[in-house]
Amino acid sequence: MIRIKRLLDLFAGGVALISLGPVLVYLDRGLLPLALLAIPAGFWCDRRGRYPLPTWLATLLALCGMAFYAMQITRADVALPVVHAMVVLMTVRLLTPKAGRDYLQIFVLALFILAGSSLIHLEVGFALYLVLLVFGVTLGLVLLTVHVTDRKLAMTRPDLTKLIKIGLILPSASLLLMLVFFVVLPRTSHPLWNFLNPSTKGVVGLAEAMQPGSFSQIAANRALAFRAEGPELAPEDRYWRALVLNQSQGGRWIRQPPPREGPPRIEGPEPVVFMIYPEPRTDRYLVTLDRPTLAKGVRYDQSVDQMFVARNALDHRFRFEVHASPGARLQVRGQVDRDFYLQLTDEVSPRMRQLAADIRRQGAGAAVRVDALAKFFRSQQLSYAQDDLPSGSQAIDLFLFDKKRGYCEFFASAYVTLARLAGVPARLVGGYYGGDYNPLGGYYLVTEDAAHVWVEILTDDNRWQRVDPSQWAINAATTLGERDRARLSTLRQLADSLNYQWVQAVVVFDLAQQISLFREAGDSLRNLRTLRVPDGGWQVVGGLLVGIAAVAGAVSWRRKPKEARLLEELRTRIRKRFGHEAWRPGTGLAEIGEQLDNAECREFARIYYGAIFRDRVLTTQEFVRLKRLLKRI
Amino acid sequence: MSNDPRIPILNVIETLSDRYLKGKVKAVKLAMMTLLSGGHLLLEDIPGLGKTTLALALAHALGLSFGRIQCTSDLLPSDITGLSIYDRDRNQFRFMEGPVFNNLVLADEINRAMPKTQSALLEAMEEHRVTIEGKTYRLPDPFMVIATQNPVEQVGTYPLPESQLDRFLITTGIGYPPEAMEKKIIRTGSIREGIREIEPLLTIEQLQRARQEIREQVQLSEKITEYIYRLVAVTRGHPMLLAGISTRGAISLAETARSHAFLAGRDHVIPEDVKDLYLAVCAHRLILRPENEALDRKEILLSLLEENPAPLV
Repeated sequence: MIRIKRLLDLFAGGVALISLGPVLVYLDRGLLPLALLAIPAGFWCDRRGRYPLPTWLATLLALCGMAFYAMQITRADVALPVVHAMVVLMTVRLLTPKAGRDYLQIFVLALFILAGSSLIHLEVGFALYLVLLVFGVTLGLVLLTVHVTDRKLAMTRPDLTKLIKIGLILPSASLLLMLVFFVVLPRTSHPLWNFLNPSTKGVVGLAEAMQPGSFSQIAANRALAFRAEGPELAPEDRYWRALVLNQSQGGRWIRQPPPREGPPRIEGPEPVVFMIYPEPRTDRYLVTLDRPTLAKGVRYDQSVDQMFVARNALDHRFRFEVHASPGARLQVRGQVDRDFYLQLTDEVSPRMRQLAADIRRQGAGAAVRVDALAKFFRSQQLSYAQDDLPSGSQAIDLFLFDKKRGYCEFFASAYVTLARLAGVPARLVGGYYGGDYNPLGGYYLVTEDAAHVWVEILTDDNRWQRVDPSQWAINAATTLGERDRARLSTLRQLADSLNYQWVQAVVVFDLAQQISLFREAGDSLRNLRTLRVPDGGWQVVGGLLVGIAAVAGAVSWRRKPKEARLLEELRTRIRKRFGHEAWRPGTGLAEIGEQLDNAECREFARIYYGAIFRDRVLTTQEFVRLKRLLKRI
Repeated sequence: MSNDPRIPILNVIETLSDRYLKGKVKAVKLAMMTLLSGGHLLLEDIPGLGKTTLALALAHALGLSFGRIQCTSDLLPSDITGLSIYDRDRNQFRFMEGPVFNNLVLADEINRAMPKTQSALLEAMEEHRVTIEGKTYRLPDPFMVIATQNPVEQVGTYPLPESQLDRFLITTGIGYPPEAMEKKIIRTGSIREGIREIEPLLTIEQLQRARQEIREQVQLSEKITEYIYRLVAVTRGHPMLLAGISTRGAISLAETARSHAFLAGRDHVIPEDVKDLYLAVCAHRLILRPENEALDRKEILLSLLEENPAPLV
């Protein structure tokens, strides 16, 4: 015959040992031997039925240990002190007498310690510990359910084998289930909270061809274009490059294969790294940060004009890494086919020809002419607008001289046309400008209505220089790039962060990413500093919250009649001393006194009933006496 | 000697259950409560467990007159109540009192008597008087009937109708004595002889005083009234029952709870009093639906007790 209690003690010790495994090297020198020693010592104590610590001392020790480690908690380092505190608790638990819930506590602490260890360090061994712990805890729980029915229960070996075999089914099945989830979860591309971010498939946004004047107004499209995780950028660097349009044809700007030229050289500061999470789309243009140098995590072709085109369809969720140096110079080595970037096949209005001729006369170099163009744009007092737009075949002319309102396509195409007329090679670059930086997740959220077009001109020394004519609009500061800001509420921001985490952690599933996510949990706590709470403010806030909770608790406690309070206290005390089963709802007080054969309980029942069932309230004297009795129970 | 009317009563219970009726404390207590509440007791158990012994011992210890009726199928009402006989010397009819004219009447195997005879006894129980040949005779006070019946035997019996069962305050079994006790009884034999020697421990005056004390001093609070009402009311709409507990049943429960409280030395009734007596007072009053005849009434009541917790605040 094997006693279940003995076996349960063995499991408790084993589970404790497994949970300590992954944190062994991180534990304090003082705590480590204690924790390790507590396992055999606890087992020995259980065998003997004698325990070294009286209960009050054990509780005190646990509290002291927890307080000690709680004081070491800083925002930068939460995991390690918490794990230490839990190890202290478990050590004390192992060395004290164990009833059913104490075993449960040990199991729960073991699971938490293992979970906590993953915040400190994560390696392949974690999976092994996890599997071992799942088996240990499940079997322990099965034994515990048997144990609570009869504390002295013993089983024969065959019976026990049968029990353990049945108990093993549970963790085995859950492991299988885990494997299934491992495969299934990363493939669900829609998180549950998607209803907060309804997806609307729009047409406005990045387009392969551009025809200003074809619409009299454009509507905002808040559909998500992509998210880009990386550092926050200065406003002048937030240009997300997607495609280059280099030829006009029938009133539209389109892309022709660019002429061969020497490989470009990017000269500039250290590149920054952005992780881009594009939404599924039908074309194959990869959105990069302007002046991209290379991309990783996707197969692509890079054209001479710095366009990244994926080789495979982008109709699924994925992510890729972009190295880019915003503000870098794009130097072309060798010859450039200048004529290609000077071609104008469409008819241009006489006013524009006249203007271009004036600019030509001002000087020969590209720099002089570009300056003159900029001066012209500023002097025209153009405004950025999305409605009441000029339209028709002469839309650009109307925009420049009459209506003076338009959006980026008008500005950019007007500029390119004038620049080419004035003999400066130029091309249009399509992409996005701006985006909302989400400090919670550390990424830019870029929607389709951030789509933008700007211009690149070729300087005399074969350098492609970015010019954004839209910035010369009289209202550029308030509209361009800033236009999204006010509309993104905190709730949306939070929902989007969750969405982003889902995409990042689940949809584009990757073990390395998961692990770094765990590690960065500590860092994200540090990010809370952006709330700008002064030092010590957290303690004040915490103290206030605890205070409010305490007051609320006291008020609701006071509000109850004193009889109800006494009863509640009695119940707590009886359950604590005689076990949970001693107080079943519906049992009378006198009955409980008899069952427990406890003089204080009987006396309590006598006095309490004496008042209640004589239809009167307790007198102060009786109340005091009952209180005193309660203390003795 | 203190003036407490409780002491002689407790003395009786203690003496009987300690010396003569070991292992029957519960039955003795219930019998005393029945007596204190002025009701009648129905002992339901198989023969040979000491039903008659209990009744005899009680009669002796209480110093009450005792009459015994052994019920058979040919027992006539006049065998119980008595009858008039012609007295030749005086040349007139003289009324001969039957066994019912005693303080304590034991009706053994009451379910063997014909319904006619049963109802004569039950009428005496309810009215505390008998009417014979147009003349009404009062029965002595206190008056208590202890009836016994064997629930197992069915052949040649006339089960008591529910309306008549309702007149018994308490129904209880006796049960087998504890192992050690039964061994002792086996060794020493029946204690019937000893019972004859029990000295009266209680006078009728003391009994009357105790009854008065219970009526006047033991308080039945609002909450207990509410509790009793709840326990009674839930039987009335119960899906397994054809009829629940009558108002008489509720009164009986309250009365016996008072006696119970009195015996425990309290001047107020507590929920435990009611709970302890709920089965004994109420079980025999329930009428089960025909399809549920096989159910145990006590189990139904136990489940009702579970569902209706005692008031605590």
